[in-house]
Amino acid sequence: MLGHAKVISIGSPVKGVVRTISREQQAPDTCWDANNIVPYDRFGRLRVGQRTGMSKAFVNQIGSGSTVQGLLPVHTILYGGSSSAVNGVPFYTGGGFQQAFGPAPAGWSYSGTFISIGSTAAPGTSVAFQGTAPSADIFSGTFNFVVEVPMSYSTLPSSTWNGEFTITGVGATVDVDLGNYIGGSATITASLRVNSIFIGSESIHLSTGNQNLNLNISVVPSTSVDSVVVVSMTGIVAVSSTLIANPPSATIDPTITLINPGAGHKQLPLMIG
Amino acid sequence: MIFTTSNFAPGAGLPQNQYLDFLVAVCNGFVYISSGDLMLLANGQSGGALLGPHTAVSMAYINGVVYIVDGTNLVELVLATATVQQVQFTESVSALTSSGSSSPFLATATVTNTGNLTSGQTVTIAGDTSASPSPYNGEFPIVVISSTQFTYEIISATTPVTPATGTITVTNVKGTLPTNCSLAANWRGRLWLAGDSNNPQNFYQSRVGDPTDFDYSQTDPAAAVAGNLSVSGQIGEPISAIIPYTDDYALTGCAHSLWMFEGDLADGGTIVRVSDNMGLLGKDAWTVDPEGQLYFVANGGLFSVRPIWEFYQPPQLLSDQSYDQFFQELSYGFDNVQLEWDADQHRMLIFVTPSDGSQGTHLQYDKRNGGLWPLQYPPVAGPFSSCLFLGDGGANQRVILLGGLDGWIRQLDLSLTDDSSTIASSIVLGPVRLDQNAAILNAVTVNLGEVPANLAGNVPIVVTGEMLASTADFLVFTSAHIPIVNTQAVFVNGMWQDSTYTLSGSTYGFNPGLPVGAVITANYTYQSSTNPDPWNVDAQLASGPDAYSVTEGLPHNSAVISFTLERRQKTTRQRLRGGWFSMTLENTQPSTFFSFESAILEFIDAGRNRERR
Repeated sequence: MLGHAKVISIGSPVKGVVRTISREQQAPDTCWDANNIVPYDRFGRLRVGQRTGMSKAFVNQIGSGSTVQGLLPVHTILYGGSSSAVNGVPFYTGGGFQQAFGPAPAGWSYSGTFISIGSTAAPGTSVAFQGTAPSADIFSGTFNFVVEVPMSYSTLPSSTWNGEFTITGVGATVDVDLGNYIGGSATITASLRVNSIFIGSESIHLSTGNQNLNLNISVVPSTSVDSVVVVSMTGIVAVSSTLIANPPSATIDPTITLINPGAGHKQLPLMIG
Repeated sequence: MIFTTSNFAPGAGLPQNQYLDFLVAVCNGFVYISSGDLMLLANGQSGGALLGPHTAVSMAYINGVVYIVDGTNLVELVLATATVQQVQFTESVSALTSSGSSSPFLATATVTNTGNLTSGQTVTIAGDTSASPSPYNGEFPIVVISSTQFTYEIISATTPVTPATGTITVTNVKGTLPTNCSLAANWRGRLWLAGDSNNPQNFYQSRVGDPTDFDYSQTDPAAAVAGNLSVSGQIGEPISAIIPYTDDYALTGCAHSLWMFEGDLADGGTIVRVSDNMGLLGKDAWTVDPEGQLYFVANGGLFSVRPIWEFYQPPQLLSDQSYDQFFQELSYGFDNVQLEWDADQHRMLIFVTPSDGSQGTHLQYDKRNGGLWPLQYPPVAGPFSSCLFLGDGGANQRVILLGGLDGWIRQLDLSLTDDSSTIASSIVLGPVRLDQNAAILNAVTVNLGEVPANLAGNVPIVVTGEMLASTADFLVFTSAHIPIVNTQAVFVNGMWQDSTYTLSGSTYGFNPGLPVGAVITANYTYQSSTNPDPWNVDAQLASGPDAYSVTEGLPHNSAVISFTLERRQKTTRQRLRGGWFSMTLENTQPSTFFSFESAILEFIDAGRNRERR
């Protein structure tokens, strides 16, 4: 007999997939099937929702596209020491621009991995990467950089050239591959327009030993307009190279590296008991 | 990009100190290191790859050196020099001279290249003892004095004579280095190797603090230990996993058993069998939560255990009341099982990647509610390997990293709605029935989640774009609801982007003329006037005679309601007759998501349930 409306309320089945009971007895707060659903939604509330996504974690694909066979996080501490502590600082981790490029020229300032070049900077001033390749075929590195002209200059005519940025590889066999610009041993110059942005990745390979590698970043402010160009450069890695200034050198302290002594490839918590 | 390092307070008179967070990756047999934003080749050897190109590797970090095994090779990555080399190597000595007038005399050895040797290292000098004069055989600490020479001291009552040359070798390992191992771990400062294909039940632990000392003849408490030579005895099954749980306890998983190591075997430690009914499904089929609970996947399902005698809790089966079928179908050797604990999300991720490269179905274990949730990633994302990377710069540097089948390392990103490809999500609600009789589903009201206020309106939000595969690619925003039109401004990092951009199909983006490999983090101005929400979900209503028909089987009646807006409690009039009902929420639209609070189904009686299958 047809009758009046009755209501069934279905809540969010936050206890997940359950398939071990009869179909008619599906337990409250459970579901028979789900895919790419999580119990806490993307904003942390206890209600089922679609899972969040994923993205590539690094700029470069490795191993010619083969399967990544293993991953191991390593946590240690780099601390400043005397120049004789280690002959060779293998890693610059992006923690400070000054470590790799020395003191900032007048009108420049460093903040972490960013260089800000103010309007008082003298045209043509530059910084140089403080690296030396001690032996043949041993230096190679890649870095990312971003050169931006901030939005505060958006009122300027878009045709105005706001600055110029230059990366120069100096050395007999320095190959500089700057994104779309392949210059061999050339000087790479990118002219920046108002409101422009230039992002790239550069790889450097010094195939002849005992040469200084000077990786210069210089900004030539326009004479007609005030210029502020922000250069961000991260991830300098000088494999087996030696930093020759600022800081004098550094070492991995063997006495405090065992932050995670028993972990294998896993991250283990501090243990009780 | 997420990986940076931060400074902490410098010591007096010292430059600023830094945490260093590296990610070591192995791919195609080569070893890579991340630093800052980048991942760079760290191979120092002049030749090709030192590891096999396809097999899963196991790694252990001890005192600045990462040891890597692949079932054949044992390779070390020395962080201080960023070089990769075989742990054991042999150098031929082309000249050996001695100097000095009294003991100890100083021997000077000439080799082709001392690049693999380091001062302070103890090496084994082995020469042909039948040669005359005889060489200075033995183990000696050396001092590297040039690119081709090193010295060591000889204790001798008489002045050594220059020995014969050409038959003398230098070996840097004490004892016999284990070979063909596929498992490596650091426990108590020992390099622990196992998975020896020739002796799969055996295990090998180096001397404490010296991963190149496998001299089992020594009897001091720090000496190297081998299972077959230990008074603690061997393990009776092939070892499939090493779990260095704490300094006091470690476990090994075998195919069908679980063993616990308590204390140092060279100093009275013991091996105890925890279970002979369960073993681990692979070297990475375990993880530990922040409270010290150990989780592992064995043949019988998902287990947890607290393997400390003081707080001992026997293995608990967590999956038998929920999704036992999932674990029963796992195959050791075919399925690559990895567990990672995500403390921020209070969850454990159980990755199951088929070895044939097909798409795996993974699980999320929600600790707060105890539920299991199937997840699927794009097949190329695998993961074949994984780890939790704990950066030091903030919460956004604590991420699960996935080693893909395509040479890319990916991160689970809580800000994204896509995997670079669309996430297809679905959940079946029900089955439900009104009573024993049939009913007519008369109306449906669905209460969905909402887009938070800070994502609504004309406010900038951060969107991370994918890397560009080629210069011709568009920079695609991950939220496709941005109503970009060809005349509209696009803001990138707050900068006016005046490059050409276009609108193509349902993909919104522009080509900024960036080089290959460029990565961009963009702010865009969110426009709510046209299509305000990155929201989409379809609700498929189903009715049928029994619970099977509205879940796994075929429903007799169905209808689909689409929701493109959040929050909306939409009452939809439907007329579906049946004895059982279900509602499947499904989203297959790119760059959208949904969440669900509740639903109200209104029925009217429809008499006897006369339908059959």
